[in-house]
Amino acid sequence: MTHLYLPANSNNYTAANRPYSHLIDKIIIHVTQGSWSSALNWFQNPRARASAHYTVRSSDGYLGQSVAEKDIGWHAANWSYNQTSIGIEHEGFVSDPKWFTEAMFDSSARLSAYLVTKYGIPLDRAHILGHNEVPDPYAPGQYGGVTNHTDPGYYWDWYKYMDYVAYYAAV
Amino acid sequence: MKLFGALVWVGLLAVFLVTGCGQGTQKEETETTGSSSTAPERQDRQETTDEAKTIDEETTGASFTATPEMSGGTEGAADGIQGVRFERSEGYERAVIDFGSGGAPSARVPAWSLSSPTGEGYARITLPDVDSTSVSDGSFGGSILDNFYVVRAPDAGMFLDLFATGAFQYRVTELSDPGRLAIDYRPASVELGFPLPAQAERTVLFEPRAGETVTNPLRVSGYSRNFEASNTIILRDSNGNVLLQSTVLSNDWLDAWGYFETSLELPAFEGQAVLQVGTESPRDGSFEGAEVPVTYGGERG
Repeated sequence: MTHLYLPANSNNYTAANRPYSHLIDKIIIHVTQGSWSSALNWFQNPRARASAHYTVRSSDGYLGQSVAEKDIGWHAANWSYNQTSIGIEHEGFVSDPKWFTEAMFDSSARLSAYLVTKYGIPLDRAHILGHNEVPDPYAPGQYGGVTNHTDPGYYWDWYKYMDYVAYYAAV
Repeated sequence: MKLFGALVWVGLLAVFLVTGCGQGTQKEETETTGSSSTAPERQDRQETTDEAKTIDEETTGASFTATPEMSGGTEGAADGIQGVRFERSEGYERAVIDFGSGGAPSARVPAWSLSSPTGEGYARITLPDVDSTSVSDGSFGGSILDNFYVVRAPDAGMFLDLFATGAFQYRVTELSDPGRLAIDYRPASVELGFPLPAQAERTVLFEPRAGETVTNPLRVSGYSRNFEASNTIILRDSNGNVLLQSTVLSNDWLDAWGYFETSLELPAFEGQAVLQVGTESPRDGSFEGAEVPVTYGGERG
């Protein structure tokens, strides 16, 4: 899969040896609330203290990678979920559907299908989930972390996305 | 001849004293009430390798002031901030904002307005034409100029907050070729009227301030670089119980500090509380942010 690899600063993720050190059984879908290039740049900044493995560009679906899949990205606000997931950021804003292009959906679904196949991740909504569905580790019953992250938000078409992932996984 | 020589020396000494006193008065002037925003700019400045000296020569016409509002610049002259620098001079400290246009240094300074609210320990320079910045914050480490933040403005453009360590007076000078704005701070012999905004690693909380008696609705504002622009607001009573929790998005977090503001309905309580504003760590979910003690009398707005 063609992509740009701009490694995140080592302050922003935990080095590991997954899937041998930790099982990878989840994909977490995010929205950046900003531009693709700015997200990749910020993850390179040691002050960010955050990272995702991949970021998908809105205009053409082009992928940027910040963290190797074997390492643990800091994106879920839940250490257990971070340890066992791949984080995919999507360029855009949760309140603006124009960012969620066909090219971005298609590219992200291809990536998820690749990950599902590679790591044996169950192809269901319990294992391919939104940031807003990650349990708050400090408040049982609450989701999206303390800050109640809402991404990917109302305009993220989960039915379409899961159909695409299933299609590419079958191919 | 001896008498003539002595007269010449006395004359030269008198000229020197008058000239020196004149410059000293100009530099030491403490208050102005006029609306003039900037010092006259020298158009024929000479090239020199000592930039600090050049800038200092160019500012000798400006006066320090505590005026709450100023403005200047040329509309559309620049669209970006290329850097913010610190210089220390005798009696004052200087922040220099370097401007760019289309990625190259701009020739002139874009439109700007400065707000320095009475009693506050900061000045805010609003730049409506500026949309990008190569620097988002930094520490000056001066005795009066402390640090700065570049923030995405709520309407358009960006603003830059220059924090002081205490009460200050300032002066502003526009410089061209390349376009720069020089803001000088020097200490003022008064006390700040308000506590400085609470500053954490990725959150700056402007409202409310530490120790403030808050009213209903509670207005919360500031700026942050929190993950995915998401900021949580938690009000806890003196026992640590959560009285109020809400989330507000800022308008940036990746390219600059993002501004946020919201108004929240306070629950019924009286007495001390702690307001926390920040976010959970993307790593493990622990809280990271600014917090201030506040007091509430239970009155409804």
